[in-house]
Amino acid sequence: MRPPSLAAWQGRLKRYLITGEDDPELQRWLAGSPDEAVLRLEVYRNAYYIRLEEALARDYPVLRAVLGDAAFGREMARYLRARPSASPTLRHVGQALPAHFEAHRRLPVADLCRIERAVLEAFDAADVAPLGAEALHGLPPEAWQGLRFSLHPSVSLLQVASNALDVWKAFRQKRRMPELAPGTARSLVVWRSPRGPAATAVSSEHRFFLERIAAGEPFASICEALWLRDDRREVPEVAACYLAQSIRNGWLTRMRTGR
Amino acid sequence: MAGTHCGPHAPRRGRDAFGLGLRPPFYREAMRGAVPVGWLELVTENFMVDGGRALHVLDAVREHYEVALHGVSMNLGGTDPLDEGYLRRLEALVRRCEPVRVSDHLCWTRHGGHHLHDLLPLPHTREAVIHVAERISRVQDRLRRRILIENVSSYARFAGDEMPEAEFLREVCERADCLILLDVNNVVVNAHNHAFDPQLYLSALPAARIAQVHLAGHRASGPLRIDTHDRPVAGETWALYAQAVRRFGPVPTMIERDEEIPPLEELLSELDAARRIAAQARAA
Repeated sequence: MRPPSLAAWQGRLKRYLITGEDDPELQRWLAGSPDEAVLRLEVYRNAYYIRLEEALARDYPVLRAVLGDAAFGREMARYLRARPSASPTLRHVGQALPAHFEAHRRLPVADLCRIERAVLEAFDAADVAPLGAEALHGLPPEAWQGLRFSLHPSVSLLQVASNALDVWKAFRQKRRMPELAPGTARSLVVWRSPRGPAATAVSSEHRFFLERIAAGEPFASICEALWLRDDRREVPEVAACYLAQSIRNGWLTRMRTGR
Repeated sequence: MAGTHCGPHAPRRGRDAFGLGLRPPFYREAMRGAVPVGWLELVTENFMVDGGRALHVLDAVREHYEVALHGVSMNLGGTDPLDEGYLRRLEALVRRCEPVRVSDHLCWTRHGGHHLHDLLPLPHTREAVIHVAERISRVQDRLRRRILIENVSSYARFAGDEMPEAEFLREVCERADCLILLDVNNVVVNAHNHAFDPQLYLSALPAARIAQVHLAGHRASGPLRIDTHDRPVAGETWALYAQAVRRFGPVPTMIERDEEIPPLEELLSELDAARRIAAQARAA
């Protein structure tokens, strides 16, 4: 029998692994009896799902605890069929999990996945020294006009509409987890602290402040935007407070002056 | 591409030629140089990150050990184009840690943009030899060094195979002028799964190209043996390793353990067994 072309073999085996559906053509290509071919192909199919489900369980431990092992396995099998891996790195297999649950309108679950994903990304983010408070000392008043900051590469800004952060924190602190449920909109920051990945809620205004920093806007423009957003007289104090908190948490890096 | 790659990237001999696959349970010991081995092998993809703990571990380990990079996703046998982003990251990692060896597998791992995260088998055909060798040559030109290609464990063989596995491996490596990472456990597994003589397999390989050896454990599953890396090296594998040492000489050798990883002392004592077997085989 003529062997299959490389492209034909790879296309068909990929389809078999991802869909799990038997393919008589694949069986015909293999040496041995049809029954033997089925058995041999199944080794690859089983290994594919086991390996990827294990990787997802490692990367989404809170999701697994929330869903329970059986439901987690079913959901992950569904996810892997719908969104096969697009990265050579096993740690990225679950990259599209938040979008997957969002598409299925399971929004609190999607929120929890977003937090767990951001934690993973924080873990591997580039090593850049965070800005220390001393960087601002002695800055002449005129320098503040064009002052810009950057967000630390490990920082993710998230918006959730559930108690996913409370669930995540309870799991991390080995406390009894509340039931994952929809809730009011909350802004979150996930980042890599010196003690490991961390997540906290911030006000929507603080999130707005951080988004503007991420967009590269000068500090003075951000203060102006805060004032336009909410005509409050104490804007400079509020902005200074957000800046101090952001520096204290290690969310900022690289300060530039000038236009 | 013979003779076009610079740098003495052949294995270092004369020092401790025995190593281990670096795994998280003994990162701490490795970071302070407390693992008594000559070198450590790292899974390439685990260190292709922008920063964080993985690179911190890598830099600390590199202070004490020579390292080898062992990839699982280069997709050398695939028909998708070679992944430019992957190669860029690999180049950066090679610059960072200056590994003594860079290896990947004789298999395919991706198709149509989808990664399957498994070492999938290739038909042993002329078409595959030419295809894979050309891609290995391109990677070697890019990295400006020879790489090592590992024989994979497999559970499927093609009715239309045009040559036995050992000949396929030899043809690819000679055509690409690359080196071989001989996984002795995979030979034992495949010899059982595909009913061939493992000794004939060794005798078909070009001795001068064998630059590293892997040892690992496997399990029986029905009529097949599965390459699980979750138990000690089997007796048959030790016996074949002794023959490999007699045929190929003192090649850098390591133990791969990826599941049910025992305490480090246990792995080290298994590595001592490899040292003893290699010494006896050389003396015989």
